[in-house]
Parts: sequence; structure tokens; C-alpha cells
Amino acid sequence: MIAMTKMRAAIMASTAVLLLQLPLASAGAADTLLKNLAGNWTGTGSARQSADSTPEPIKCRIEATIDATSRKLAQTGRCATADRTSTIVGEINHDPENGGYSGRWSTRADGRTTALVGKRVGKNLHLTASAGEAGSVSTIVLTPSGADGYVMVMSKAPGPDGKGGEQTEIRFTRR
Amino acid sequence: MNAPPPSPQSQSSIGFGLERIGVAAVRRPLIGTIAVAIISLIAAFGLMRLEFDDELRNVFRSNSADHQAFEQFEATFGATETDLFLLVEGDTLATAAALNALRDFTIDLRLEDGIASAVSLFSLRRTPDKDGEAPPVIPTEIPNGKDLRILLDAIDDHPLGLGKLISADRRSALVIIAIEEKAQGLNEARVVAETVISLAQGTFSGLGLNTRLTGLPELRTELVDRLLVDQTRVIVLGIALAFLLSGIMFRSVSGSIVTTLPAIVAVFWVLGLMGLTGVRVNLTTSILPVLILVLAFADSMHLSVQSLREQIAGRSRREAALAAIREVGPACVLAALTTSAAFLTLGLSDSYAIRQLGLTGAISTMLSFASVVVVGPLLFELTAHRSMKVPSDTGIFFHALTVFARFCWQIGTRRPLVTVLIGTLLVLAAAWGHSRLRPEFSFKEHLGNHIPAVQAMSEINREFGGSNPVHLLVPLPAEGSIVEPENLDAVKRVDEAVRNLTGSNAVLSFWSLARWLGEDQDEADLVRRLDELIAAMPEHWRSRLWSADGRTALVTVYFGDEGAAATLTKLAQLESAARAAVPDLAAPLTPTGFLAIAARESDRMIIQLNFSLMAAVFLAIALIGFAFRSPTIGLISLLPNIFPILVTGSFLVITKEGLHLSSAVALTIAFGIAVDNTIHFLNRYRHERQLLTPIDAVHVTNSSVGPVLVATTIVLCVGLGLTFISVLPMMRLFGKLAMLTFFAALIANLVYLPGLILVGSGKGRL
Repeated sequence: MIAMTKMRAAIMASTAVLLLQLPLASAGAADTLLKNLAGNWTGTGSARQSADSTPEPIKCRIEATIDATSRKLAQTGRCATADRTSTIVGEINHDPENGGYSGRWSTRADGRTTALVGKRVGKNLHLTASAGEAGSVSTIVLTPSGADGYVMVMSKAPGPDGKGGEQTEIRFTRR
Repeated sequence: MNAPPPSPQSQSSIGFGLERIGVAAVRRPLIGTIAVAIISLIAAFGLMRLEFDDELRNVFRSNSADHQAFEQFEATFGATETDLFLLVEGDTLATAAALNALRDFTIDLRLEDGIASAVSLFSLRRTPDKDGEAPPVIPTEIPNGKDLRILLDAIDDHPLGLGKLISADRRSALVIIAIEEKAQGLNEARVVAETVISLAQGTFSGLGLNTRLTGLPELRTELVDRLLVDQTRVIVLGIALAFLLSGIMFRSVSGSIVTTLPAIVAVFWVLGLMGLTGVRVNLTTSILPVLILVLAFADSMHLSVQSLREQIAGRSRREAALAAIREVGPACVLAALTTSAAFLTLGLSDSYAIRQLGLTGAISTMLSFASVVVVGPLLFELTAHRSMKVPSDTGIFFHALTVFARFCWQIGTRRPLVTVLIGTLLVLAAAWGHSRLRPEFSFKEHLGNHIPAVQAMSEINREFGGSNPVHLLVPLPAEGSIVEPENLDAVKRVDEAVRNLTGSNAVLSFWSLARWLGEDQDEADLVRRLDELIAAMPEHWRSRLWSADGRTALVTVYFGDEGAAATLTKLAQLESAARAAVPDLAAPLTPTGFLAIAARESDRMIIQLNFSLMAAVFLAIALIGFAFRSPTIGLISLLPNIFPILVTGSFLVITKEGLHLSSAVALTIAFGIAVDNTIHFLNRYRHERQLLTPIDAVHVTNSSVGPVLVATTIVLCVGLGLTFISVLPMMRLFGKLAMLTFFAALIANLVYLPGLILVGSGKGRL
């Protein structure tokens, strides 16, 4: 009942959702940054299969808990379109030595694991998500929006054959 | 009332001496009381462990080849009847605003815990283009008017839509909700259902749209809830009614206690037994507590009346209780044995549930007997008060019963031969009617049409062609991938045969995916695209299309629940069409699935129950013959006892109800109880015959036992009338049929049996 071949956009979107836990305003203190990510989040937005395609509605619901050291954030949640659900389990770690972020998420539906590497760029956070397939790399940009919200934009460059180019934009608020 | 009958000590006991446990308890009341207390404590422990069976499928569990094939299917593909169906209805459904809400709802549902997926018309995508892009059939910006109508028409024809997502009149849409495996337990599924209902009401109520939730998980929840409420209500009211009836009969509170408490203790012991042995309260065993209450109360009434008669005749309370046990106890034993025998014949069934009912019922009947002959007399000795009044001939109630019994006796004995001839003709006529009885089964039988979930299911049957998946297992001829041309061709042929047969789009198979991709394209291209699709396909989708080992493909069609007979016909047509489509495949193409197995198993179970019934008849007759040490008495009791069964069967034919599962169980058990009348009649006749001629013995028996039989029948019928307040149709049907059986048995015993005795006694054997 869904186009399985082209639904990776939803998966990527749900994966990228977890990056929202990286608040930008408090980037000066790494442990505080992850601590601020703890809580329940909901998001609504749109996902496109390609740059030219019509956007489709997407929603997410994420719960995040921080450990005692405030350096490791465990996350669970779901993202869904009308024909696809991704149940996500992941974690984000902060390295105080280099100030960077790394982590991974896996989706229960297909067992796909996505590796993440992140750094701050001005007020925004830029991250790279690698899904393990050759050439399957997405760029994720998180931008703060108000006191308790973020906007996530995830984009994937078209492949050498010109196909692809998924783009997802989701606005998150605390529940 | 007449004086107590002569002591039966000169005759051998028809109760095989089992009534002596009552005698022992009365002689040593302390030990008897302690024994009752210990058994009750054990029962209390069992009661705490008593559980309700929340699996509908357990009713159909059996060791038949069909059921084993079904179990194998579920082991390979998983359970497929675990989906919930939400019906969204309203005149404004086909508008952009309502459909936007439906899309939001679909997505929101998918975010909820316990829900694996939610499929609505928004889940369908167009055929992928050359770049592999497959946009949703309904775009983000939903149009109104003609453009929307065109889009919805595309939903109707979509190869993966199964014609199930929006009705032809565009007033109903369906959301198919798959529950995660971890949430399929009763309590977890209940939480999921509550979440769905709450979300649906929040989403649609402001738009003027109604929602109704159904599906087997919802029906199961309804059933367990109603069983629980039903059991509590019927038992509590039953006890209250028993108190009231006995109070009226004896015009005394102590009379109520002496007569009713043994029945309460019997129910308590039976529920405890069920808890201890792990027998759960389910669709079949839910009958037991009510049955035991009624049965124990009726026997207890016999004992109480006799005890009081003995006391009035001048005996002490202890001696009166002992004499009553000796007088009535043997008949109670034989009655319990014949009822147990009726239950035990259910053990002939292939069905696990029916066998369990048979064994538990047989033990429960004997427990009930023990409670009546021990607790009743003990209570009589301890609590009976002089204020208890024996039902007397001078009372208006008993006078009416006596007049009725005498009227029956006069009809039966004026010309015994004519009575026997007419009675036998009636038996033959009823036998002809009974022979026209056909098995019937439907889920509605268990829950009733007034339940919202059942009504929603009926609506889905009407508007969407059914919600019950029926699967054909197609063995794949070529090894390797399912997209091997030979495999694809086999699935295609079966898929198309089923589609042609049903004339609907509601067929799902791997070929549906090919149709969605565009079956007219080049074969190599199609195979390549199918391979891509398989690579991205989640496991739970794959498992609904072909087996993990790649050896079997599924072709699934959806049936409504139109009753077992109609379903069996459709299953046969389905199998025949599938076989014709792939004659080169040697393996059987027997359709399976929960509905299919329910139809086949219920049919088989009902036929077996009919055999059980016949076995119960002959077993009871043999027991009576053995107990009375007279084959003639056994033979004479045969006709009056099959008469009620045949009459009730004919009634089912006339009312076009068919023989439902519950009817067959009711007939078997009701027979076991109805035969009690014959036993009590013959027991007294045997006593009277020692001193009197046959005609006088029949007359005296009728005068003394007749009114009690009429009273017992009234008590049984009033007690079973409680089933009419049940919310479960099966319980109500059981009550109705049992009442009819008892009434027919009463007439047979008061009119036909005396005639038979007199004709039989002409040869000096009675």
C-alpha cells in the first residue's frame, strides 16, 4: 500500500528528528546542551521524495532521557507519514575533548543504522547522517525557533543518476 | 400432603449407595461440617485463580487436520485476524476538510504505542514513475468537487486498496489498524482500542463524522467484558431468586437457607474447581455456574420437602434428614449420574473447548450432588425451624400443580395403548423434524446484533465486502526468488481466478504488487522493479505475501461473516477456482484463516455434538436400566426422553434458527437434566409397586411425585429464565431451548410415561 522504493525520505526524516535534541542556544556548555535535550517532543512538517515532488505531511513523537553524566542522551520515538512508520531507538554522545557530537540511530522497521557526526556553525547545528550505503549521506541543519522549539531541515543530494534529492522539514515543540 | 412413603430399605439403592455420604455427614455433623469447610477453603483458593479466556480461537481448537493446517499456517505467517477496523462515517466525509482530518488521524495513529500501522485511503500511492517516484493518490492539497471525485475513483480501482478504504456512496471510510504483537494481549489491546477511540473522537466529532471501532480484537474485548458482567449478574440474581422461591414455598427464612445454601456452595465449589484445574470461563464453560445453581437448587428442594415431611411425620430433625436422604438421595445420585453421563459424552468431540466443558461439567455435577446431600441435610439438622411450612395439598399453589398433574395422568392412563400410539407417532414426527436440522454458526451468535462492534462489522460486510481474511496457500514451483517467472505465473493465475470468482478488487497477493507497478510492462523490467520493491519491503509486509523460506505464496481474499453454511459454500467455490487455475500444482489449495476454520470447525463440532447427544440418550437409558435392575424400565424410559430433544430440534427447524453450537450443547445438557423427571417418577413407582397394582401404583406416583415434578420444572424454568437477562445471545438461547426441553419432558413423563408403564406392565414385567 505504499511505495516502498521511495519511502526512504520518511526514514531519513525520522532519523534526523533525533537531531533536534541538539539545542543551539546553549552550545557554550556541552553537558548542559545534552541535558536540555531531555524531554518529550512532537513535530510536524513535510517530506519530499525529490526536489520537484509534492511535499507530504509527516509527524514525529520523540522521548529523550539523559544519563547522570549529561554526556549521553538516549532517545526513542516514532515518525510517520500516512503510509509509513519508523520506530527509532538511538543515542547521542558529547565529547568534551573536541566539543563534537556523535551518535547513531536504528529504525526498528528495517534495522537500518545511521551514524551521525555534528558540529556547531554559528547559531545552527550542522550534522551529517550516513545510512551505511555508499553515497547515502544526508545533511541536517537545526535552527532554534522560539524558547522551546526547533526547525529541522534534512536534505539529501541527488545521486549520480540525478534521482533522489529528498528533503524533509519538521518543526518541533515540547509536549 | 401424603404421609411419608414406606422405607426403601428393603430395595437395593438406585443411587449405588452414593447417597450414604450425606448419611455419614448427618451422623457425624462435626466431621461433616469440617469437611465442607475444608473443601470450601480449597475452592476459595481456586476461585482466586479463576480466569476468563480471552481467546475466541480457543473455542475452535481441535485436533482435526484442518485446525492443524491452520496452526501451521499461523506458525509460518503469523496471526492475520488481529487488525482493528475503524469506520468513519458521515455525509460530509467526501470533503477536503474531513479528508484532511482523516489523513492527520492516520498519521497520529501511527505514532501511538502498540500500533504497528494504520492504513487509510491516504496510504495508497500511484504507480511509480520512471524515476521510481510514487506520489500519494490523494495529494497534500486536497481538492473539492469533481477533482476529488476522480481521485476517490482511483482509490476504488487501486490494486492495493482492496476496495476497502472508502465506500461506494462515499459516506464511509475505513482505517485498518494493525496492533503490534506485544500489544495483542487482552489488557494491552484494550488500551490500544481506547487510544484509537479517544483520538478518533477528538479528531472527527467536530466535523460531524461518527466513528465505530470493530475487528476481532475488539469483539474479543467485548466478549470478555460481557462474560464477566453476565456471570456476576446471573449468579447473584439466581441466588436471590432461589431465596425468594424457597421462601415462598416454605414460608420461612430458614427454609430459604436450607434449600438455597447447598446450591450456593455447589456453585462456589464448581468455580473453585475451575480455578484449580485451570479451566477458564469462556463461551462454553460460562454456562456451568448457572446450570449447577439451577440443578443443585432443584435437588435441594426435593430434599428439603422430604425432610420436612419426615419431621412433620414425627421424626427428629436428624432422623428426618436421614430419612430424606434415603428416600430422595438415590434419585439425586442417579440424576447426577445421568447428567454427568450427558456431559461426558461431550468428550467425544474433537473440540478442546467442548471436551473441557464435558469433563468439567461431569465433575461439577457430582460436586453439586455432594453439596446437596451433605450441606442441605446438615443445615436442616442445625437450622430448620418449626416455622417452615411444607408445601401442602391445601395450598393454592400446590393444589394447582396437583390438578395439572392429575389431568395429565387421566389423559395418559385412560386408554394407555392409544396414549402410547399417539406418543410414538409424535416422537416419529418430531424425529422427522429434527432430522431436517442443519448446523449453523456465526460470530453474531455469541455477541448479538445490538453490540456496536458487531453492527460496525456488519456495516463493513455490507459496504466493504467483509473484513475476515481467507488465505490460499500457493506452493511456489520454482526454487529461489518469488519473482521467478514460474512463481509469478502461479500466483498470478490464482489471484486472477479468485478475482474473477469474487468479482471484487479485494484480493491481495504478490501479484497485486505487480499490478500496481504496471503488469503490462516488459517482464524483465517488471522483475527488476519487483526485486527493488522486495529489497525495501518491511518484514511484516512480506509475511502477508509469501513465506520466509520462499516456498509458499499467499493469496488473500476478504469474506464477511454470513454464517457457517454460506461461508463453507464460498470456501468450496474458492478452492475449486484455485485448483482449476493451477491444475499442475499437486499440493492442496485448501483455504484457511480464522473465519474458514471457525466455519469448518463449528460445523464439525455441531455434528459431533449431535452424536454426543445420541450417546447421552443411550448412556442414560442404560444407566437407568442398570440402576433399576430392569432392562424393560430402561427401554420404557427411552421414548419419553428422546421426545423432548426431538421436539426442541423441530422447534429450531420451524424457527429457522439452525443448530448452533450453543443449541447443541444446550440440548445435550438439557437432556441430562430432563431425564431426572423420569428417574424421580420411576423411583416412586418402584416403591409403590411393592404394595399396589400397576394402575394404582401409577396413580399414587402421579399424585405424590407429579406435583413435585411440575414444581421442579417451574423452578428450573424460572431459574433458566435468568438467562434472558444475559447480554450474550448464546446464554439466552440456551435458556430458551432448555426451558422448552424441560416442558416437553414434563408432558412426556406425566402423560406418555404412565401410558408406557401400563402397556409394559401388561406382560407382568413392571
